[in-house]
Amino acid sequence: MKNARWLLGLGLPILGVQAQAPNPIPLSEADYFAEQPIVLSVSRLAQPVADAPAAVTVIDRQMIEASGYRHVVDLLRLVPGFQVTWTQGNLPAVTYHGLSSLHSRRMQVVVDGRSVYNPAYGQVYWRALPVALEDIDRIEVVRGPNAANDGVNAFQATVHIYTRHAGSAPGRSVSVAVGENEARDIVASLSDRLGELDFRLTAQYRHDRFFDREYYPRRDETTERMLSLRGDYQIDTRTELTAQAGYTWGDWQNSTAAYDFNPRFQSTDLSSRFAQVKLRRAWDADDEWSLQLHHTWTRNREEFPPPGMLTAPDNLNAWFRRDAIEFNAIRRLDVATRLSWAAEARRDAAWSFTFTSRNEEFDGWIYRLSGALEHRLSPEWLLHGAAMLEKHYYAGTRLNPRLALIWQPAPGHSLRLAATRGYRSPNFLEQNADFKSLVGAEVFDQYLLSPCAMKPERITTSELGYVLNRLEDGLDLDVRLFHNRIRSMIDFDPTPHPVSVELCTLIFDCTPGADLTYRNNVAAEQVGLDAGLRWRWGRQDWVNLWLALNDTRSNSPLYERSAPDHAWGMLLNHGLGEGVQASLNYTRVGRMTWLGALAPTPARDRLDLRIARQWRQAGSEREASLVLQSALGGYYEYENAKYRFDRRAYASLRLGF
Amino acid sequence: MWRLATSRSGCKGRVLDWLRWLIGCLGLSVCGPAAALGITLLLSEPGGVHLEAAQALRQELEQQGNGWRVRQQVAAERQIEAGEDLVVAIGVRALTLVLAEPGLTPVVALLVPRLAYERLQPRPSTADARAISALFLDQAAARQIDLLKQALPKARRVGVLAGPDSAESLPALAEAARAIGWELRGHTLTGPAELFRSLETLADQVDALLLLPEAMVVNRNTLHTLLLQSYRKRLPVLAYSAPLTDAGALLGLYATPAQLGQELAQMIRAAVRGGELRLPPARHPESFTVRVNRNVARSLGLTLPSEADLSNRIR
Repeated sequence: MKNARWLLGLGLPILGVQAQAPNPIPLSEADYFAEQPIVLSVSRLAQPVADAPAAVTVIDRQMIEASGYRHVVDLLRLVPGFQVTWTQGNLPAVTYHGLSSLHSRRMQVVVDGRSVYNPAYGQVYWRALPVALEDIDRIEVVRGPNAANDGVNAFQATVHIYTRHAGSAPGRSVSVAVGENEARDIVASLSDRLGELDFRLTAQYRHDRFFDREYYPRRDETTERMLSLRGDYQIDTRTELTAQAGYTWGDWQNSTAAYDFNPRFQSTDLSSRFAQVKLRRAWDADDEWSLQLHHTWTRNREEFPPPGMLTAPDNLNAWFRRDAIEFNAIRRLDVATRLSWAAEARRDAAWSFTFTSRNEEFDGWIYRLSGALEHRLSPEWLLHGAAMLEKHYYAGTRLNPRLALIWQPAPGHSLRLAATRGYRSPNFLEQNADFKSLVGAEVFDQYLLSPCAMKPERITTSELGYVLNRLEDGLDLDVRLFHNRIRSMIDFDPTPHPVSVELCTLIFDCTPGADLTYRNNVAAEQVGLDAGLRWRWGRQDWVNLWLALNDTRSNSPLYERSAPDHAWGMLLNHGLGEGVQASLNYTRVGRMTWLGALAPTPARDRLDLRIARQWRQAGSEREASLVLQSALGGYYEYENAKYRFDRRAYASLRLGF
Repeated sequence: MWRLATSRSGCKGRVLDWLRWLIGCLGLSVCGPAAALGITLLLSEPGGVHLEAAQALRQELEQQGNGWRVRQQVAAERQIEAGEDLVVAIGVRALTLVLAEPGLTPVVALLVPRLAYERLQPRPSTADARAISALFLDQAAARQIDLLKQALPKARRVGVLAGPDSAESLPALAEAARAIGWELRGHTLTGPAELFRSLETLADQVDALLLLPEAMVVNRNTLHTLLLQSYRKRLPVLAYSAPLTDAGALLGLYATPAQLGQELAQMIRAAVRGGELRLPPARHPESFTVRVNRNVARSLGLTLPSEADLSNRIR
């Protein structure tokens, strides 16, 4: 394409006109030949599932709205094989095919390219994520280990959350939701354009009392205030700069560490902030590179008077931060081959005196170099090879490969055979735990200890996948059959590790030794199937069905029971005309026992219903909706007979202008 | 490049021009077809797409070996020369310039959109006004809808966002849609702030979006919103240029400058019959290029025929 500098000489504006009368010379050839920025570049398009080397589930905006969920984490209930549970209003846990406690730490979660799992404990503070549901463009979940692309901690699965480009929905919007269980949400958003800069400012207030007072013996009020800013600046047609920042203030009337010393007084004051800058240059649709810097900092403040005779702990305070610089490039080498590669340097740091008995900052560096090659051997065969070389502060240097062969015998059909290896490094807590209560200088009871250096956990997965795309019928099917071999899983040693004198053994006859000692002592093998079907027969008429089956074997019976052997669900949306849409969200999860739970979670069925009405006029839009959650009645989350999620409703009104 | 006498102006120049034209015509009928037709290619800009079109036009004209004199000029250095029997104005700027000149030399416009041509045309058109015609830059409505139909067999409704400039082309589009059993839903914006909401509404009502080169709808400020929103709504977009297709539209239907240059050469040759230059009425191009954005197609889960296949189907 010849350069377009001659446009300047043309003297005719290309920008939007304010006048309402027709232009004297409305158009010129400039409008046809002018260079345009690549808006839908490879990184901005949702993964084409049929060509992907792994099983990918995409949750789009239609699904987000139809689900009726108020919290980002609940959206993951829609992914085949995922389990989401809540123990308190501030502590949801997510896992894929079990193997998790409520501090779920075997998953990589990435928001706009920024890894958000907590390097101290490994889990994600889902309610502290500075992402409003309204700002999410889509969520892409890779079911299965994806270390070759997403690095350490992409062990069971990777969740990619993408927020919307600042220019995608210009205008103002205010959304208010009110409901039972003190559900109160207010989200206000402003999006506009100044010259070449699109920006969006979002403010959110969210509050609820998740579990009812009647069933849950403690107040469970959780409140967040969040502010986030995003700017997308088009430097020239090929280069774009995106800057984001956000802050969340959480006021959670519960412990976040889930250790109840003095429940009457324990509450969490959480602050989390992040800043991120990304420079992206797209030469054409298949050729782009980006450089990204980000910084995240989170602080938990949980202080309380120590109970009884104890002098410590009087707090469960912790903070952690992450700083990273990352370079990504995608390039098409020839008609049949595409290469992508990335390099990253990252620093994780954490501090928690109470959990480690050391008043020092633990920190470590991660260096990562990864490459992926996609080569079309023939119109029917596609080969994917990827590898990541990583140097992690605890895990050392490791190579994680991934290989996938895809056979596409006919248009719309894709058969995939893949094998991959991933690992999870111990986090700061697993490596350095020394958590005890004190009376003066004497140890009263040792709770957590890491007596030895931990080894990383290893997973080797082979999978067979099938993807069907029949656009003529509006049908999409994705099936994954997999086998996992997991070694060196970090869990608690059943034999307490001896410690020097514990006062509680003298006074109360408690078990001598550390209550929980970290060890690499669990191995597991899993065979499972998860499948998702999407059928669309109208613009507003579609259904999503999913199924997950699992069989887990392990040397630990707790792990064997940690994954439900079956789960299925349906999300159905129907347009009733006149701007009215109704949706039905049904999930069933089989019996499972979360690791560390005192009782199993019985099999449960949950039905959510939503009805919404939209009014649109020339410059504004309104939407009113009513959501009924758990219409079939209460069910137990996390543990039987303790955490009961009751039927509840909320109404929401959104104004866009 | 040879230069003749400098331009004459005023009444005297007009009469002389007319005489020259008459002699030229007689000469043609006496000496045989197109003995010495002088064609001036007037480029709006010296390089880029204008040069591409000019070169293709020139190559095709000279291929005939009929001794036509083809001169090339840039609008900024325009000089009316003797022996100018036809001016090809390449681009809006060149066309504006030529139409403002005195004289009756026939003009044919190239790389000019239909809307711009119609606005620039001198009115009223009288018998002694100069002959003017064009090979439009934009494709005929019927072909655009046809491409959508071939690419998206299950679709039935096409949406169009129009503005003050393009509103007048809506009836023709609606007619073209009806002719193949489709329905057209057009929404005319009265201000740029309406774009987002109008697109939201339209996206729920139609199966594809046809982009019109309307400044209020497609410009640097709105492009991201347009393409991101359409993509989010899984709405296929047909654009009118290659850069827009690369930017993120699913399909593009357009004629390249080279194609247009070539076609105009054929149009001019056909216009010279029996020694006379009779310009045909202005029309849309016959030639076209189909482009598919494979990345967007894959991401939307669409399996589209190859570009060659689609081109054959809509021929």
